[in-house]
Amino acid sequence: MFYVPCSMIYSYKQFSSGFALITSIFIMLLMLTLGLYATSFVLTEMKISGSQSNSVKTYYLAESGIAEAIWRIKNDAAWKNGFEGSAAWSVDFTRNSALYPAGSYRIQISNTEKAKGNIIVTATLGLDGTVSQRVVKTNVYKAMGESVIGQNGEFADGNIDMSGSNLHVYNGGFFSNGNIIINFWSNIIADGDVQAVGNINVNQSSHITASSTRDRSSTPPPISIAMPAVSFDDAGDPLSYKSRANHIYTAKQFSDLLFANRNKTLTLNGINYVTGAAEILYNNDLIINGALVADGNITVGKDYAPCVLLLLFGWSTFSDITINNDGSGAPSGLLSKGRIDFETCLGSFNGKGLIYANDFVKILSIPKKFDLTGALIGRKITLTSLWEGVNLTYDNTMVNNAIGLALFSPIVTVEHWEEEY
Amino acid sequence: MIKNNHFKIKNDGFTLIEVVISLSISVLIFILLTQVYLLAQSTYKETDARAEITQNGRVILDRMIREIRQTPDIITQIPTTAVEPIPSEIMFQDGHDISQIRYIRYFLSGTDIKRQVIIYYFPSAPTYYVHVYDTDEPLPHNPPIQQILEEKIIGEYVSDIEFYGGQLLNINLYLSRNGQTSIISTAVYGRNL
Repeated sequence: MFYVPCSMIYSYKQFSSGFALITSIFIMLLMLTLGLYATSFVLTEMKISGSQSNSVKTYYLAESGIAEAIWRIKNDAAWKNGFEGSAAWSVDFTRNSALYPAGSYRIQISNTEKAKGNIIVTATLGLDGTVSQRVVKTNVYKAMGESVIGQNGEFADGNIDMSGSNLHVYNGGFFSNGNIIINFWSNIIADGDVQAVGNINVNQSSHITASSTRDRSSTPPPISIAMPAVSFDDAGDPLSYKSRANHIYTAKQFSDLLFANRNKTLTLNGINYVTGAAEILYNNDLIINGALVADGNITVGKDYAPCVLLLLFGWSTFSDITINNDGSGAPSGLLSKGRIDFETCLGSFNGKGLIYANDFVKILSIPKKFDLTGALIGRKITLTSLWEGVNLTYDNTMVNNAIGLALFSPIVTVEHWEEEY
Repeated sequence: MIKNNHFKIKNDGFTLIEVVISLSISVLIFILLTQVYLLAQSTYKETDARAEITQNGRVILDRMIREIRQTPDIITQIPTTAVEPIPSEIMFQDGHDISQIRYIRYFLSGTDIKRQVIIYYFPSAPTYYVHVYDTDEPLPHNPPIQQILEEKIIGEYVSDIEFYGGQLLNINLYLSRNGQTSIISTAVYGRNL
């Protein structure tokens, strides 16, 4: 038989008195804390989830505000005229009860320049006792129909060389991705800017008058412009010149056609496509009511010797060229996949349209006036001995008609999209 | 004397009332904790469902808006106002890939939003796709054959979708899952229409 000493039992009893109570209180507090934490966690989750859901709804509300702003710029006369007509135009518009009874958005547009502006839409949505807000910003730009070469009557991807020539560019300037070299008593006048990504070199004997001249030493220097591409005979392209051609000739057929009409005036209508070189000799007057397009080179006023020889006998055999545009939006001009040469036996040239050469354009010793309304585009452009002068009137429509616009090109382009909360 | 003391200590336990009270408190605490747990569980399910339907709504609308914004032609007759019957599907010409004429159709199938890519062709030229409204030559001018190139589920948990409006097209998307519902509304401008 084992007995615990009386003194030990007494001390144990003293120690355990109230232990269960403290333990119970401790456990209850622990459980209460856990319960409160779980409740708080649950409530926070509910709030986060609710605000996330509302924020998505508000975002789409703001997006509908952007859609309305762009729609109004395109369709609302007051907005359209303001956006396209003034660099200082701005508008502040609020739509209440938009899509939701407690939804609204505020559209703020301010132009940075004509037809270019910032749109800020602030959408507010009240749901379940809370209000959420989203701000969406975007830039819009509307192409106002300016051609891809800008306000330039003459554009070259390489150098523009002018020697012994008089040139007046009306309603625009000229631009080179290379250098502009003017020498040998040339006199150049441009209503617009003369710009070269490289250098502009004007010989002391020559003179240039322009709205401004800028080259690589200017601040900021001109930024190069990509040489515009022309779809000549791209397979499967319904808008290529070959696909749209009214008449397609081989080089031989075209040559025979000119020969059959020598010393006469030949009229070509629509788009005339030559699958080779097109050589217009000294004794062919040509009226082109549209465009002459060639896979090969186009040469106008060729064969110097016989035309000068005949001139000595009093028989003028210079080829006069007239290019007309019917104003319907159809292209007009001379376009070559190779080069275009205007040579000495070209008589008067009066054209409305685009002169475009994938390679170079050379205008050499033309004895008569050379008037072009449209633009001149080439990989390189050389004007030599044009004492009678070249009058070049930049016409945006002629350039756009000939180069064409991209399919489905949006009128209003969203350039940037950004969200705020 | 020592023996008596020992006996007394052995009988010094909890009374019945103490046991009953402590058990009752324990049960109450257990019930309370269970309730909190169940609440947390149900809230988790609710928030999960809400997040899921919100995410689905966003995926559906983002994709749909991008394609409608670019389309050159909407084939489905859309009412200008939100007056019944409001269509719960839309078919339009694909404005992104213009190398061939293709149509895109969004429609409600059960609780899923599906996207179809559809082409039309005439038997005489099966590789050349035509418009849905084209007819062949000669008489009797048969309509083209329809072929579904692709059909995919874009989003789930959709109870309804509505399209109405003109160039500024309104879309109402109704989503529902585990008792949670959400309506997301927006408008899109078809800039090539």
